[in-house]
Amino acid sequence: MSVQPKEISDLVRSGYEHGFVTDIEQELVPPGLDEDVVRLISAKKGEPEFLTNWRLKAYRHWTTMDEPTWSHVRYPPIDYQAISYFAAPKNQDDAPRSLDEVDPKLLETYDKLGIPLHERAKLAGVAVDAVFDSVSVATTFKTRLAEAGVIFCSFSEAVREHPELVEQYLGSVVPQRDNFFAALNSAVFSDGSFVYVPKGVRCPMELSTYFRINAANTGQFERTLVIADEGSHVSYLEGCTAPMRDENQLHAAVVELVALEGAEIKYSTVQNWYPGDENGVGGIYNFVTKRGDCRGANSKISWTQVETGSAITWKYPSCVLRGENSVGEFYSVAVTNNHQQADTGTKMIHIGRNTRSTIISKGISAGQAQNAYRGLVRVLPTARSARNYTQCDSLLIGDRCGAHTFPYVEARERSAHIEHEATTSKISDDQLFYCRQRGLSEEDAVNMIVNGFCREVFRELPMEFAVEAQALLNVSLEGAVG
Amino acid sequence: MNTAEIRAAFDASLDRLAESDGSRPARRQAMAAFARHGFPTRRDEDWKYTDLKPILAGRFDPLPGAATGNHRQLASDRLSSLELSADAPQLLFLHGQRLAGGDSPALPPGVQVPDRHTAWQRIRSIQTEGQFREYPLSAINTAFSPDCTLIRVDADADVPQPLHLVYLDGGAANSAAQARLLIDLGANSRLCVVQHFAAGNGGWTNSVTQASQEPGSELTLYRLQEHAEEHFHTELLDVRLARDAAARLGYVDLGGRLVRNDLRVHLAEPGASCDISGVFLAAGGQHVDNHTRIDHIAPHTTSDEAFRGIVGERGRGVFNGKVVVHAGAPGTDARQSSDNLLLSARGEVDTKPELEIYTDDVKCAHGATVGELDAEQLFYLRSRGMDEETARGLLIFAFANDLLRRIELPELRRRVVTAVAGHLPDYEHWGGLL
Repeated sequence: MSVQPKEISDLVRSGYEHGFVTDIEQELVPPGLDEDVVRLISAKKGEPEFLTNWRLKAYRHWTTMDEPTWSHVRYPPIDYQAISYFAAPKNQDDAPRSLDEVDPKLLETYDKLGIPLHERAKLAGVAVDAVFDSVSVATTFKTRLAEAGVIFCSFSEAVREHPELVEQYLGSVVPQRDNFFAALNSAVFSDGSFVYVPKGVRCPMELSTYFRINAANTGQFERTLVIADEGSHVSYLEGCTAPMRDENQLHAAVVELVALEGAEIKYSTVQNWYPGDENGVGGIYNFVTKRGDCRGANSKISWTQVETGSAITWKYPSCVLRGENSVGEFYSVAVTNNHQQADTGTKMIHIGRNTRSTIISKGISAGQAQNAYRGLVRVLPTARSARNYTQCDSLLIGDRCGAHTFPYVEARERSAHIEHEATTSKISDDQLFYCRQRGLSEEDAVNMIVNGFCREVFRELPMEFAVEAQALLNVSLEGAVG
Repeated sequence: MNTAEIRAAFDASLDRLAESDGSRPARRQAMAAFARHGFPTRRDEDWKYTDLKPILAGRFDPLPGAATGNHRQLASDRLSSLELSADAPQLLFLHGQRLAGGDSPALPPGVQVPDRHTAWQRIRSIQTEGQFREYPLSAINTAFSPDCTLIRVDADADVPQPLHLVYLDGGAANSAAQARLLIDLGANSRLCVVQHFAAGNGGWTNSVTQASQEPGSELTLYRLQEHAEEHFHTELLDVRLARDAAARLGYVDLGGRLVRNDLRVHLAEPGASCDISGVFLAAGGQHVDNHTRIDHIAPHTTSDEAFRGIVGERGRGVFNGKVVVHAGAPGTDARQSSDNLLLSARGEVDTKPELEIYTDDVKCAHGATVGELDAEQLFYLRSRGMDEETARGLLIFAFANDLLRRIELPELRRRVVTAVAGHLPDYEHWGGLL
């Protein structure tokens, strides 16, 4: 992409890079939520009866639930009746079969985001299932995946093509009644991704999806389901950017992972939703339920996340370690600046024997932001010789921000071994001085120190994501020093 | 026992409680606050792991009758079994009420215990709605406490001898003891207090202690809880420190069926510091919950907190430690640890060390561990010919002793060490090594 001088001056002003609106006709359901809207969403997507009923059950339960208030975040009350629960790009009937057929405006959007679809696909060997608002529009590398027997498609497609798999696994990790936002998602989810890796297959490439919120006043309700059958392996990447908005937008996604015997799932996220401006106006509310179930023996689920965006982040990617010898991992970097708030962490539920879990959480707080780690390690009496190691470190930049740690440890098995460590500090003057006297600017020095602080987590990311994550971190902390 | 019953009991006994000590307004205010907040339940985050239902089901009389001769006899038997040294000044409490003439010998110079009227005035000056809201049991204490003891230490007084406070009951079932203590330390004074709880089966002790420290003062407070196994114990210790004041607090919990200790420390002025350690044993069906909150309000304040729990049989150990560093407290140094030995298949440990930090110039760290004895350490002792039980007992003791050795009074340390060791396996064989 050639860079014009004007664009350079835009960059220097360094507002939110990905803030723009693509002008595309949208098919919108009017704001509001009741049973009819749920039925309408289901009908529009041509869903089988079991799914319609499943949604309705979720909706009915949701109406009896209260919004959670236990987290360490503050926001004005959300009017759930003012949100439009379905938006899909038009021209659905003649959906594109290859990139050439894709609406040029859409391609333009991805261009601005810096995702050269075909180039990236070819060079990096990555299959991209790009989600534009709610309906997936372009999928590549399908053939190669199909050869390996891997199913990677939009959620709607999975409902049409593989209803038996969807019926078997949907809601088996995050039940409809799990929590307020998961229930809402279960009732109104629009689309998302579906992955099934058959027995013994090692998925031939990294899978990735790009989510984007576009239409004003539309909540985004993604639903992702990844199933790794016995002895299989898959690495899934998820990245998010969103256009600039003044109004707060709600994002309540659900991600379910199922790992059967000997299977391994690696789920990586770079989250860069619009964080609101420096006065705390606007920004995305990111209320996400992510959970993996190590259902079979010797299975492994690994979450890696880099959270730099969103006005509010409320997510706890968790692992239920059911199978013997199963392994859960959580690696997280959460950056908050200006008025951002994050309450994020994980849950490790040890049920099977010899289950092991590792939690590495790095929180960075600058400006007037509040950053909280909230985690649970629970060892049930059946989890003989379970092992957990938790380390959560916080870095504070500026004297008006906050960093908080709320770890819960519940042990009911004597042979379990649980360790938790946490530290909080600022960037030391000694470190800064050392870098400065070697000629680094203060900003570069801070970036370097922060990147070093996050190394243990970045190491877990696939290479191209690690590079992007470091760049994101630097952008997020711009103006935090000095 | 529910909120309405407590109310009724209060109305019935107010005249008897508040004869001439001027306590009526404070009691009324507390009762009104309690009626608003009620008993905490497990739906309250602070009570997630501890259920007060066994206490509520106990139908306790919040205001037990005056001590009778028989009660006194039981209490004095119990007292002699504690083997306290005779020359240490003692204050003796029965059902939370100070026993006249039970004190021996005389109070050391610089220490005063003013009358109840003064003590209640002091309570009125410090009691807040916020405290009742956060800890409703302190409202019950204020409403029903038969007595209130204020210990005042003059400025610059360095009290040489520790002051022993012994809390007993007459062993009557369903009797509640509302123990209330205030400690005011004048500037640059020094005091050591030993609170010794040792009540019999079937009762409920609900204690509130509030300490206020003027600049430069030093308070050492050891709290040894050796209730009988079926006793209930709830307690609030609230310490407020001014500039450069220091508090050293040591908890040991050996008895009780349901024990809940709440500890609040306010480091309100620059240079204030606190050092807290706690050891508890939870075996049988014992439930021991230590809940602490340390507020770093002013710059350059330090706190160091360490709790160790030993959980066996069907015991349950709970720790919730919160450190809050306020925006105006740069230069804070806070350390906290919660280490637990889980020794049985049916025991449970729930620990939650929390940090809430609102400024950047801080050094805060916490750690928590749960596990059984280290197999390698056991192997080492076994390879030297020690039998398994003895090795286990010795290792468990060593785990606790890391904190017990911090007790600075040699007599008390010896007493506590023996008491802790006596609860551990195979004590007869290795006790001689101590």
